[in-house]
Amino acid sequence: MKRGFLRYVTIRILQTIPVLVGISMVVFVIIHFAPGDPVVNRLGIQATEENIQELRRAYGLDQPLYIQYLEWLSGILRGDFGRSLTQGGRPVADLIRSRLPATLFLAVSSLFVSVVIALPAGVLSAVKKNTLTDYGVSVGALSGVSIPNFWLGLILILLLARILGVLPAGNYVSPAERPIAALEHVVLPAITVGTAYAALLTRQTRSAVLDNLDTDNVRMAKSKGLAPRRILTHHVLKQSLLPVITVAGLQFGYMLSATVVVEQVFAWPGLGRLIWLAVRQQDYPTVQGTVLVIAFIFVMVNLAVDLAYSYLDPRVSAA
Amino acid sequence: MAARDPVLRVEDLTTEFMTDAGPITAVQDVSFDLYQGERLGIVGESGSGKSVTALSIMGLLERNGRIDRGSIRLNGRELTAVSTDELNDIRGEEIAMILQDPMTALTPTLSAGTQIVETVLEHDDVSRTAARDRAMELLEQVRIPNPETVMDSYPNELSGGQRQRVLIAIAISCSPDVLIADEPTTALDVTIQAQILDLLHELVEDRDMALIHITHDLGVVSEMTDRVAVMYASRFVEIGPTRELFVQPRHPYTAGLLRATPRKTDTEPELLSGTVPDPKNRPTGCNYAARCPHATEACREDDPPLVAAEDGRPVACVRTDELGYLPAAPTADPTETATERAGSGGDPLLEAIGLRKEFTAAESILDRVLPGGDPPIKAVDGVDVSLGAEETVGLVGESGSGKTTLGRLLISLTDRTAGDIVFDGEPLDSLSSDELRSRVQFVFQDPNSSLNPRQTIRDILGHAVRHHGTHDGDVDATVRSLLEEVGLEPNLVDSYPFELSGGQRQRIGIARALSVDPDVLIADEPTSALDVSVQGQILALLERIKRERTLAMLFVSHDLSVIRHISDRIAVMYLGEIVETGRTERVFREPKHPYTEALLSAIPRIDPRKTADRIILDGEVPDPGRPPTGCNFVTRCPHAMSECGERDPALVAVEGAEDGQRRSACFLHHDTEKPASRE
Repeated sequence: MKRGFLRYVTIRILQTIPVLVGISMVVFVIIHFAPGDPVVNRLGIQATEENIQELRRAYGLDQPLYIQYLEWLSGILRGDFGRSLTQGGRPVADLIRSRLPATLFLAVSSLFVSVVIALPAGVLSAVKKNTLTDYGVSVGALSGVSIPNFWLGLILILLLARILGVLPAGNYVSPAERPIAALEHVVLPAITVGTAYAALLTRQTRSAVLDNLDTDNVRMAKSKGLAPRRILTHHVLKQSLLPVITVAGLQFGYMLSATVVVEQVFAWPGLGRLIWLAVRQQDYPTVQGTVLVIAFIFVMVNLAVDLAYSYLDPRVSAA
Repeated sequence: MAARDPVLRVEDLTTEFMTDAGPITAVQDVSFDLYQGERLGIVGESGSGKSVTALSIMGLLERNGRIDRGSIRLNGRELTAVSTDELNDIRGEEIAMILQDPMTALTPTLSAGTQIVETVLEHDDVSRTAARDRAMELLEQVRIPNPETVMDSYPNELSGGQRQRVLIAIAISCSPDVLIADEPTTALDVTIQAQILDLLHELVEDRDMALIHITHDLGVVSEMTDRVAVMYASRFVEIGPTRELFVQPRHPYTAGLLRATPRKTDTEPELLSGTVPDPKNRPTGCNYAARCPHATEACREDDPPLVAAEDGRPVACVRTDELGYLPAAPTADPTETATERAGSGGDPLLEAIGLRKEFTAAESILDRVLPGGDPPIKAVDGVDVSLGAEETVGLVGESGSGKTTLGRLLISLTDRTAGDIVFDGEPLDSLSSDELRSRVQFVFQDPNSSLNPRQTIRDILGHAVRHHGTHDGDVDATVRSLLEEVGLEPNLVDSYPFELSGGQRQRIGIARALSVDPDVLIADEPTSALDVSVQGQILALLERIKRERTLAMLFVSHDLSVIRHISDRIAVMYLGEIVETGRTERVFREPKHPYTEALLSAIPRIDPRKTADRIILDGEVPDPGRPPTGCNFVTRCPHAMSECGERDPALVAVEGAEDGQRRSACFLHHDTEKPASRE
């Protein structure tokens, strides 16, 4: 059993390598074929042809694309993500390192909000299928998906920060330095991102619980006289968590990308803002590095989800 | 409590389901008493309402179901009137249930031990340790090997038989007065079924429980019950002591079922024509009138009530006193119907030599490269098999024996690992796939999943007819004549598969196979998903078609009694190997392999007067990835000798054999390899 599990994990980790290489290629190609020229961008339109060529050589942009890619890739393998074309030429790795905690903090908080809303709502709505409660949850969920992130963010800022003044309107505070203040600051952005995904997760939880309520093993549990509460917690919930966790894992990835918009609204100094700026300025190394890191996190979260599966469901690692 | 008070009294139970098309009555006016220590069987085909009866008693109906009227009294207490809390106290403690499918009835995310322990804790005020000790005792009582390991195992780590034992342990954990077993062995192999029935019988006897045994299998009812109720279209049509009812049935449906069930004797089963009426569209008068050979005008007027016949047995038939007892067994002269079929001389049409198929558990390249993976599974491990022109060979075996894989290998639906297949004198590989498909066809087990739900019958059959170019211009006419050939109305061409019954769908599957006018038909369990009466109809159809079209057929099945009546020759498979082969009648009369012998004796007998001298095999089929050394059957064989654990016996001709056709892979029956010092 133990050995089988280690083997499974090893295989899964090795399998992520081709995925990451593929992503790096796609990112590299897309950004290089995007219209515009970072060098011209930087030097302005008055620059002479000579200056442009010089800077191109300095950045290695005169090389054929595949050489550039291989150099970039070999740099990454050594932990060198290159230097930003803007931002005073700071190493991309430094930029990411300084921004990553803010984004992760926001994404994790959002996921937390989303799960805290979705699990009880989904279970309740399944157990009370076709009652007013169920319909209420459905309407709530529908509104959740329908309201755009940025708009909800603005409304929350207006209401809770400006008018009532109970919570700060964003602005990242490091949870390592001032934990309480950090939580206060993350509440609004986390609710903004979290509610939208809570809606989806609620529906997922509801249908998973419904599926598992109508099974032979639940009938068996009832026939042995178990209390309804125990049937729900022990026989239904654990099984229902499987699809819910899959969706939550995928959502974590989407949340990382949702931050691009929400970080603007809340002036959150995370990867989202970094990417946004870098794309506008055609800062190749920064965009490539940041997207690759996000992709890496995404892949790792999904790996973690699969491993959680084998913990929750004994059938998985045996397969 | 007085000695003769019933433990359970059900009166006029009527259960309805709300559907979009209005209410459907699933159980109607069912009444019976059940006494302590009594074993009552409820037998009927699918949709008859037998499971709903059980669920109604247990209070486990779906949301859209409700008990319309009637009373259920358990130990004098009215179950239809108790609160949910009271019901939870009663369930498990006074009445318990075993569900049909052991694969789904246990919760996959909880260990077997937890699922027993929680039941004990729910009902009895004991410590967790005491509950665990009780669980261990229970696992020993249900005779599970290695109970300590099973306690901490998850259901997926247990075999079907072990899971069913765990379910039984749960059901008896709080010593209920009444145990309801709903098809407890239907999902199990016949040798495992024998073990479980034996266990149930013993437990019920030891604990003096009352048992309601619900099944479609007449043999199981005959062996396992004292009294039996026959259910048809939501109602009990006859109820009485098993020994009387199965020998002298009164209701025409009871008699029809008994005569339609294949037995392992020489007598051919009779045909029970027609199907159960649609619950949404029941006829006026007797539900069985349309299928009944004795029906008169009076039968179509009023629904006959279940009243005592002249001998006191309750029967729901207006003519019962007039008809008297009906024959329980097929009346045809056995010598006439079960003649030894000619079969083929000459060269075989389809022949496989040294056929081998290994499935690897590895899913990716990495899986294969890294050490520590599972060994490949030898699904088919060196099999020689041949099929003559116009011959029918029955391939029988339990699940995991490799019979289905073998069938698929023969038609290249699965690539083989090794071995040669010769078809009509040429290697199979030299035929193009179109050529092969136009001469060898496959009938699948599950008619539901092998037909495209989005295509009409016209599309499904028309495609096959066109693709293989067997039509003479008019595709539609060919499709219609195919439908007629398989006994369907030609006006079904515009139907979709979901609009047809299971039996009709299987007929479409057969028509599709026939559409290319093949020489060979490979039928993989074509009747195992069907009810007895429908199964009989499909078997008769196959029999007729193969005679009219002079087809050769390989009939794959787990059911020896089905194979008995359709095959000229049979081959018995165990763990990837053929262990015995020979003419059907000879193998049935005198099996030459201990496995065949055990399989034959494991089939429950329908006639309650014949006492079963059963060989119950120990244990279960070994993991095909790690077969035992020596003979594959050595771990379960009652006659195993030391030699059997050393060498694998070859499949060779045995003494007194019919011109070399009778072969056995057992040292007991080998002439030359027989050890000198046999007792």
